Amino acid sequence: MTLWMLAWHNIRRRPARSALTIAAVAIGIAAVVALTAIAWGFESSWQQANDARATDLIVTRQASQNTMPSPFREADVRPLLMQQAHVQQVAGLLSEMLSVSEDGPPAFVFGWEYGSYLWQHLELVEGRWPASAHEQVVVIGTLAAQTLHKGVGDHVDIEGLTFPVVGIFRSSALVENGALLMTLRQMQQTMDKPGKVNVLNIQLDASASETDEAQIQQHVRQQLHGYHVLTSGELVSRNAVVRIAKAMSQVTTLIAGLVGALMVFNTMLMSVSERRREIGLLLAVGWRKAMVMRLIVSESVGLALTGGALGILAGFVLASVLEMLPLMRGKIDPLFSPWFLLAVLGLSVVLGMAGGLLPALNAARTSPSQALRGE
Amino acid sequence: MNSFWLLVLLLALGGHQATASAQHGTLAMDTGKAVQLRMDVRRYDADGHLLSPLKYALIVQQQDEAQYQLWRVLAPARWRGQKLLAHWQAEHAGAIFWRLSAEGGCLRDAGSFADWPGARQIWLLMRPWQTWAVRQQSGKDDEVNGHDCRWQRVRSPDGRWQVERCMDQQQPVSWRTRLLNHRGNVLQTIDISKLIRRNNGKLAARDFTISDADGSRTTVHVYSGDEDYQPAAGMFLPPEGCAAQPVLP
Amino acid sequence: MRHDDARGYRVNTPILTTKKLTLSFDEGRIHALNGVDLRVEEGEFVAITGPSGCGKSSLLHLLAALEEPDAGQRWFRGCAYEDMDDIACFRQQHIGLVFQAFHLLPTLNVLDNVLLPAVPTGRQMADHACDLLQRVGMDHRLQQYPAQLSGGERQRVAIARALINQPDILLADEPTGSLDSVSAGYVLQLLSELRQSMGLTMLMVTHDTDIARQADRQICMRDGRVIA
Repeated sequence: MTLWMLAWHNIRRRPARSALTIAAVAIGIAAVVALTAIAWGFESSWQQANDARATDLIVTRQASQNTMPSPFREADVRPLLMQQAHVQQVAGLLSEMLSVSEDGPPAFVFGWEYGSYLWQHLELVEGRWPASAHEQVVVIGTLAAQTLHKGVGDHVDIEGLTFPVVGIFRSSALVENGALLMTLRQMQQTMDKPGKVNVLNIQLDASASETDEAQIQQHVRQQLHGYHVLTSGELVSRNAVVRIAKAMSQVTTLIAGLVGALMVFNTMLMSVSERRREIGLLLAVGWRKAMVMRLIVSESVGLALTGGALGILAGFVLASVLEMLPLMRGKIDPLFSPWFLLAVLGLSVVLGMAGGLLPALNAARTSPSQALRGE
Repeated sequence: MNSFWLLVLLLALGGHQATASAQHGTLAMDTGKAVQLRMDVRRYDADGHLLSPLKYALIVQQQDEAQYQLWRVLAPARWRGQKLLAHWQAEHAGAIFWRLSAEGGCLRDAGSFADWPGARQIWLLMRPWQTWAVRQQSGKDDEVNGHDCRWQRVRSPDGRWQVERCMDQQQPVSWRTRLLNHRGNVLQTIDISKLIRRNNGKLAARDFTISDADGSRTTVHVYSGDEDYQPAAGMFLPPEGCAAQPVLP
Repeated sequence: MRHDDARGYRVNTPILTTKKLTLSFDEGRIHALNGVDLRVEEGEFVAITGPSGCGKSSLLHLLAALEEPDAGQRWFRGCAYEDMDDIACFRQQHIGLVFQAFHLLPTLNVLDNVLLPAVPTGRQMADHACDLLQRVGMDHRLQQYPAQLSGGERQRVAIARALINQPDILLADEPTGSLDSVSAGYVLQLLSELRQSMGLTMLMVTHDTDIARQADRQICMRDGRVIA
């Protein structure tokens, strides 16, 4: 017979009430797990895309906290970047989120500078790459091929222009697998943004150190007003969607935490009230007040922890279902790290402790004499 | 830095800017600058049926007191490439426009522009009311789509039009704008649902709905933009021999 | 001659002493005890009798340190209750309690109910509990729950629970009050045997004069006072 066994017996005493409390905590935790995993997965997916491209630094316009960075004239910026020490290559990129089919959700359409290092990390699965910067063709990611039901030889309409699909590629980054890719020149023409890019990718030579990277950032910042020079990680963390997703997961965590703690609090308060005589008995047979408090908090932590564990499972399922939705497919890649799951369990413990503390204090204040008399 | 992002979506522009613009007697756009916008437009009739969805590319350039607009249809395929060229000579003088085929020739079919679902609604939106004098600074407080705002009223210099707008008290955004005729009848109501931050840090509408007096409504989603568009030479010149049409009502 | 035992209590002194114990309820409007003086020797069996509401149970609760008196003093083997560092520890080590209403936890089986007072010690006492349950004749029902037991059986389990920590004093509040005469007789016999074999001091509150006569000494109470 241990304290935990007794706590578990007490949790099982009112199965319906305990199940409801566990369910409420589980729903909250599931939302936290799913949204946080999606937010992190989204960030990680973009990070993977940048890492896969082997980009060291990125130049965008100031307003790039919007979903898509604003376009700017490449010619205004490139010469200065090329002057910097250790800069090996500067590659322009123009990206948009566009409708490419009548019924499907919008997809990422990328225009990459023809012949630049950006293309090197992609693996051609079928067909061929664009033959020149001027060729009006697209290659599409494996996931885009699935969601759009397009293959080599098919056509896609992008902004009123028809593009033959000449190749299918695979990337280590999910966002690229769900995207359509054409040459930068074609993208500029399609979007009527001649000479414009919304990101300039900089690849440094192998000898460049972190200090060199910081120095380049400093030089460019001093000379290019209105532009950001960021590492790829900084760009991703400033992305509006990443920020919104993170903010949503944080707000959800807060709300789920409050609701969960309140549910546990209510349940434990009722439980303590109903078991006043038993608590009196425990005190009468020699339990210290602290021991009684530990019992009550153990029960509340047990409830919250069970809810947390079920919530993690439900969060997995929820995120997987969301991932399979046509609207989300190729855009999210939930990331579940062991540390995150441990942190969620930790959150459940905190919820349980927060919800159980006051009822535990209440229980410890019980007068054994009055409780045993039934007053 | 270019000060203009969405002239057509001027509803998002604030009272401060409107007052300043009115004092200077110019539109809220630097002269010589141009912008390009791409928008998804969906028009629903009074019964809620979706009419043909359209995609437009719109280029706007300000030259002194004149404003030039070039509309191009991206979708659907049957209108793809058709253009509308409009010149606002001055805010009091109204506009003239030309309709052009995808090949650049004149279109003489008088109904072609008005047939595009949503085009007329957006056209009406383009009346430069952010330059009109504020007639009544503050009216009653209200709430629009969960945003607290305060109504104010402006009117056109000729007194034919007036606009009521519910201005956010924290940021320069009109969450709801009503266009009224001289009799005070509401012709259009524009509700903003999503904003975007421009390069200069100011806000502009990204998603909004235009509701007409007959119960029909038009939703507009601006999905792409270029605040620093470089117009090609002669882009706003009408082809020779094309007759200008008067401004739509 | 007096000397201290290993735990600091004096031996060769009364196991329990009270002086002018006073207790009132309802903000002093109801006087439960009015200056009770009591002296109980080691190994003694004392029956406390008196009409309902005379303060018998209140006295028992004060002796078990379940309640604080308004005035007066209590000593255990010469040590004042208020000088004890850990009153819960005192209750656990020295006091065994048996109630009229048994107060068994319905969610725990017989064995776990008996082990309940031993939980704070963290010691494995299952063997000792089984031994006690054998002595009270309940070793065949270890896994059963209170709802499955008769009143007499429940009280026997409660007695085993009271003895799990090997107390010095057994305080029994109307232990046969809820039992039929056969069960009551069995429980009384059990208590008597256990007291003698374990060298317990026992204070028992009872209405029953027959039971009271079996005690070494009777204390009669009325209106919160000891009258005989």
